[in-house]
Amino acid sequence: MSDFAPLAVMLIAGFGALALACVEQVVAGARPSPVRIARDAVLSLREPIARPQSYDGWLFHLAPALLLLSAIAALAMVPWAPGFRGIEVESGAIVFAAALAYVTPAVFMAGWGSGRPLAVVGAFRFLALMLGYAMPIAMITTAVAAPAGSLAPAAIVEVQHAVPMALVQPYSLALWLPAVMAVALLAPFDVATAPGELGGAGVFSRYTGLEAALVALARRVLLLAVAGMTAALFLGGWHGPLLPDALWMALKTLAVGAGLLWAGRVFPRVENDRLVAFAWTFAVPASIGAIALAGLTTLLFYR
Amino acid sequence: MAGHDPAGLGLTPVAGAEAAEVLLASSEVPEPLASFVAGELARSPGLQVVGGMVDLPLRGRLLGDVVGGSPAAQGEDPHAGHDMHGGHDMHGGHDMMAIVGEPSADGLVMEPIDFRFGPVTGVLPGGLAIEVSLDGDVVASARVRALLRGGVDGPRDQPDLLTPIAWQVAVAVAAERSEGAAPPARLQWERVAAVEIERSLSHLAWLRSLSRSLGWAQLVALAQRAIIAVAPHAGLPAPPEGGASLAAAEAAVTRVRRLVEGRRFAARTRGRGVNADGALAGPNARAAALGVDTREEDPLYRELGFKAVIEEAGDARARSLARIFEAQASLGLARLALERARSAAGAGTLEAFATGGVACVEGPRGPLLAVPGAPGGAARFAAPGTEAARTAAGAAMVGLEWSAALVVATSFDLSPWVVA
Repeated sequence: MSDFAPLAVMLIAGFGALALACVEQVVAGARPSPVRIARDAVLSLREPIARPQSYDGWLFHLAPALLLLSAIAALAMVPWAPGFRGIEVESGAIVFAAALAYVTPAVFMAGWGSGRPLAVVGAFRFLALMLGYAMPIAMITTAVAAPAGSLAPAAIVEVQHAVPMALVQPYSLALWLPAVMAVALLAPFDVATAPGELGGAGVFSRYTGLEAALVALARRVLLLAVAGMTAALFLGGWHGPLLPDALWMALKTLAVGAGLLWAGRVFPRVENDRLVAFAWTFAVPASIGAIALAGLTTLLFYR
Repeated sequence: MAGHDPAGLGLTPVAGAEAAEVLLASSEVPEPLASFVAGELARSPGLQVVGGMVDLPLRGRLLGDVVGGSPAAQGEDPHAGHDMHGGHDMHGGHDMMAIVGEPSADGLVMEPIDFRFGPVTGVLPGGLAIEVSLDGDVVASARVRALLRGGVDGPRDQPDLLTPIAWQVAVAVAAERSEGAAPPARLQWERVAAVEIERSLSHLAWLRSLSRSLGWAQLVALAQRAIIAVAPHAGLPAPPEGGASLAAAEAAVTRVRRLVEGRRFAARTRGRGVNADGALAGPNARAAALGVDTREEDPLYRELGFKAVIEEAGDARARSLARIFEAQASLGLARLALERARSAAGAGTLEAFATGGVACVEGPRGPLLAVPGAPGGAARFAAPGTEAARTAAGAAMVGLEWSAALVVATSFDLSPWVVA
């Protein structure tokens, strides 16, 4: 790992979040405007930090930072090019899932700490949801790692030089996408934030100023991380003709990000009880089946 | 914005205040809502305000109270009308070890969460509040309250500002009946067109709210586009270009209808909030094959070939289908009525808007009744079915998970105005 890798991850987080914010504007039918995004950020930063009457101060104020840290930790595991693989860890794919696991306490702290009844409801919803979807994320990671024989994301990318994993294990991709969308608080699985239904931004509705800006940044970095890891684990990462490796990875990441945001617009929010029931009755057993199928595929085609 | 194209003014309507740069405020904001509007202003320092609210000192008066985010401004008011300090002490922190209460349906003892949703939310009309008690994520009890009173919080001759034109026509017909005057045929056709366009707009605005509670951005955007297409035609008398481009508005509504008829919509609404209360009126009743549409008795509407929209399931989906079909049919009726108004054809009579001894107009939420007042006195109003709809909505929410319950409540298209 280069000494500059942490700095590079920070830069990728900043510019990637900005790029995805522009993609979000396009998906919503508006013109991409980095200037507007910057202006909104400045306006937000000029607001004072909220100190609501009824809240648990430690939990409330620590939550945005924890959310951003977990998002950046997940992003650091994403391999962007053969020459830059983020922060290289041999078990990076599992560390990615572990980093995402810290989103759950961050969201719960935000909802519980804010002291709003509906924010508390949102916090418990997310807790229930992630209890069900944390297992599929880890198991699907294992399934896609099997052909590479390694949990290093770069090794998983390398094994896809001929065929992307999305074609080899489409069922794994089908299980992976709703799980990572849920953990990234993306519609239609945004049961913890649920604008309209939980008032404002749900668990985050009481944040203002710097904390609101941190939450907004963290959510986009989360999206960047899950989109990047989806591109790496399922779409062949940096592999592609003609264009530079890093550009291929960036394009695939933005395409996945746009697809996830688009899905959030064209589908109504899924109710929490249905999501939880789906997780325990289908996603978890199917993920175990995906591991078995991945083992069989590995024995037949990758050995 | 009625009668104006926001795009023509360089404006792009957004889904909520948090995304807005400019707030166009009416010159008349009923007092129960004024403090919430002021709360929104204080929470959004970058928001520019255009309209009557500019001159009100509310922003300065309330700024200190709401900086940092008011739950009330976000549609949730834990202090109003409920004692949050008793059953669920949100101020003293959460004590997981102090959970008390009756066992819920699954046998677990849960601490109830009591709060008031409203009166300003993105999914219910301003002035409507739901007092809710949650058992976990399931609604244990719900009571819908309308906080605005016609003639008190608004203009004295407007019992319900959500449907001003229909009430305006009802009052005018009541006055004409009282005086024995017969309005010209052209005016009667224009009234039909105006009431129908208002119905279409009302149903589309309701659908936009329902889409927000569904968390469905695509449907919100389509409903918004349809509203923008229809709004320029609203008004009484009809705008000069009225009817000329209603076909474009009908096409916009057709796109919305396709989504409402689809499986994605059905997945969240089918079988939810089934209600066959005989006291309901308007589309809520017709969605359960109950009640009548008073337009069927109207000779003007019969001349236009009007047929009432009837659904049978009585659930949230049926109520939605009834309204979107009506929204589309209303534009067709308005187009035909405007054509007749131009040629002043038809033998319109006062009976067109009158049944029995009162003036009756079928509004977007049911019949609106106006009784002419004594000379110099005010007319009397009634809107049968509106209170029953609020009661039915509260009852239908019980036992549902909060998100489903909110969709069901929204599907009744409740009015925040008490008409008496």
